[in-house]
Amino acid sequence: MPKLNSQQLSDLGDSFLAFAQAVGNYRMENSGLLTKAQNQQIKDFHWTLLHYADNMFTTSAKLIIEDVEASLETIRDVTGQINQTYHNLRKVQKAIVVAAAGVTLGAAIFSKNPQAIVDGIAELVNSWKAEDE
Amino acid sequence: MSIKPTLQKAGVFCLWLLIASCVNLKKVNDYASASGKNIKKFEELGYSFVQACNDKCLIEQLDKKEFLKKSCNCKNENEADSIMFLMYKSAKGYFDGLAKLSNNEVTSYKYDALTKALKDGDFGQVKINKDQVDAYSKISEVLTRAITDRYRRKKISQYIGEANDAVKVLLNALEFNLARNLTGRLESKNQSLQSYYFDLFDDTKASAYEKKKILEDYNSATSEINSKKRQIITFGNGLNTIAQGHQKLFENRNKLGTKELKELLSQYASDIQDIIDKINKLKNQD
Repeated sequence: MPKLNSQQLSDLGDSFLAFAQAVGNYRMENSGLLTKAQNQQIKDFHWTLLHYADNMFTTSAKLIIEDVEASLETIRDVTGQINQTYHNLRKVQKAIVVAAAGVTLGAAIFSKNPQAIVDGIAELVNSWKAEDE
Repeated sequence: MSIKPTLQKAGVFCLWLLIASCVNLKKVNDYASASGKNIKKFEELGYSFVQACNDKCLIEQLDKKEFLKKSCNCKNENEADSIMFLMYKSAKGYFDGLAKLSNNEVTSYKYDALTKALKDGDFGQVKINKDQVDAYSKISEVLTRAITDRYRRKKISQYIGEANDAVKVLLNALEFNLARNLTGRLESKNQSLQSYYFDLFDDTKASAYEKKKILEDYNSATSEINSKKRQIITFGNGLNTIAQGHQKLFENRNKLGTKELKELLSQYASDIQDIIDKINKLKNQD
């Protein structure tokens, strides 16, 4: 017999739920006519049917992984590419800051000011080391 | 030779470039941000398969009047929740990434540091006019942005193309699990509670006051279940709207700036926001 898929199991769960509702309604509507033992037996049937329905819904929810496995893989791959592109674009800002530090250092060298050169080198190193945004 | 006319021409060209590039992604960003926000509402649904399993055990325990709880095996429910969580995280990660990448702030590069360096620098023989520095800096900003925006748009359209089928499958599956299977479990809980409260109410030894309390408790429990069901179904409708919006994006991925697509995306973003508001309202009614 072929295996049931997620959709079919969920449909079956709905059918069992409707069946259970009918049994439960019968018990409540006829409680005055039923003996204590009959009442308990019908109640047990009702709860067993609900238990089956619960299992069908849960198994259907688990089986869905078979339908989405390939899609999960694709999304994971595309999301990785999106994040990589985002980080590459943010690196442009870092390049600008590093270039600015380079210009400052160049100006300090032109000025022949030792302190400005030291500060310029420190700024360049810091901007290079700075974390990407 | 004065550089003013050149700068003016360059300025006009840059303005055109800017309008032609970054503005187009604003609506994509609105749609992706609203979608990410909606998907995140999954965490606030407040019901899961494990919760359904625990509720069922508790009702059985109450019905059998057992003070000590028997072991409640929720292994299957735990697995079902893990699968739903995996689908949720995956969809959220994609839309968050799309929102980040389509945000125009990504390519708003600041040239302040460079401008300051050029203005403050003592370049000996070389004299740089302050206005020239400002103008070149502005042009650099716009040009960098225009170039990177073209790249960004091309990439976004590529990613939408690659992900569309998978996004639809994933969102539909998540909606199916919630709106069909999890609400099925809630309906089952509803029936168990009805059966349990009926027996309490039907007990000839119960006083009129006790019957009143039983009815009140039962009504309160069913209201809570119905509210949860409405929240889950509304959330599921949101997932369907997001999937439809993504399909429109896919169909128009090579013309992301068209007026029609912008209007459509605005509508989807607004519909998704309405659903978020509806979920919030339902939650507050709990």
